[in-house]
Amino acid sequence: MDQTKRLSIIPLLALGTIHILFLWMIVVPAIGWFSILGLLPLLAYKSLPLKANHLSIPEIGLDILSFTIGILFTMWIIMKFETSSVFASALIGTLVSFIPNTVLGIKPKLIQNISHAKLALYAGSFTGMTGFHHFPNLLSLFIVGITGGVLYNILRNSFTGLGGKLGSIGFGAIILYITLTI
Amino acid sequence: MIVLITITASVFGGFGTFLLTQKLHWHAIKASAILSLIVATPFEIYDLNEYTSIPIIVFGASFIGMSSEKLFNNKLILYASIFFGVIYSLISFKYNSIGGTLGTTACLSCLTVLVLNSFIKRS
Repeated sequence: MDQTKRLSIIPLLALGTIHILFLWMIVVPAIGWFSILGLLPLLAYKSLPLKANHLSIPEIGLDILSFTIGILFTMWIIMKFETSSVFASALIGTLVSFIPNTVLGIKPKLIQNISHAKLALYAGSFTGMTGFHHFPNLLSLFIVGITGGVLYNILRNSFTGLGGKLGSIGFGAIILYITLTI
Repeated sequence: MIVLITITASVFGGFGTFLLTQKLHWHAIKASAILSLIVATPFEIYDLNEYTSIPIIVFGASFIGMSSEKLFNNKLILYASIFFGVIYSLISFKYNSIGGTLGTTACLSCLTVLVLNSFIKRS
């Protein structure tokens, strides 16, 4: 197996782990072992684009920063204005969607990353919908932010065009933290 | 009745977002967020105690509509939205406060439809 193929397994493993944790932690307690049927959709992974993302510290940094800002702003809106989590996340998404992807029609590498930063921020806003009791302190929030940013970076070029990918990343960030701290 | 409302809201969220991205060429984030915000706003302003899960369902299903037209067509989005509505009815998200559950359900709905579609195509 060549290195490119080997590396493309990483995003597959990341999304697979998130979905299996979802079935285990959320679906099994609700509908029992019928949830084993939930493994069938994972067969569709092979028909979706998989591409390993080359390690770039600035890109990872930007993803972590965007994801953490997404969490913080969503939680701040919920606390400050006492809104529902759906309203807060949708408001963040709406505001973010008006940030332009290009400047004067030019699309240099840095500007291209803004598009990814917007997506990471929206994914972070889903994590921000989590109940406050799951974040006992500020450190836990930053750990979740880093986890989410890294997950986004791993999956940013894979499974493109698949609806719910950002939500899965948002869920993955918080569920990994909860699972590891139980 | 509740299941019917759930599925209708789900189809509205999923299909509405997909149409906004395909017909009006909106960015997927813009389509999903604005549609969800429009649906959620009346529930924030007025004391609508009934059907409070409608904005949650529309928001969750809007992630299905964020899918690319390279992978999904109108029919597949419709099936995925209906499937999302059914799954939502089975699992009560109201009682767990973990973010991203809606998005993950939407993702699994999309994957289910893709798997079933490939089985049908083969047979």
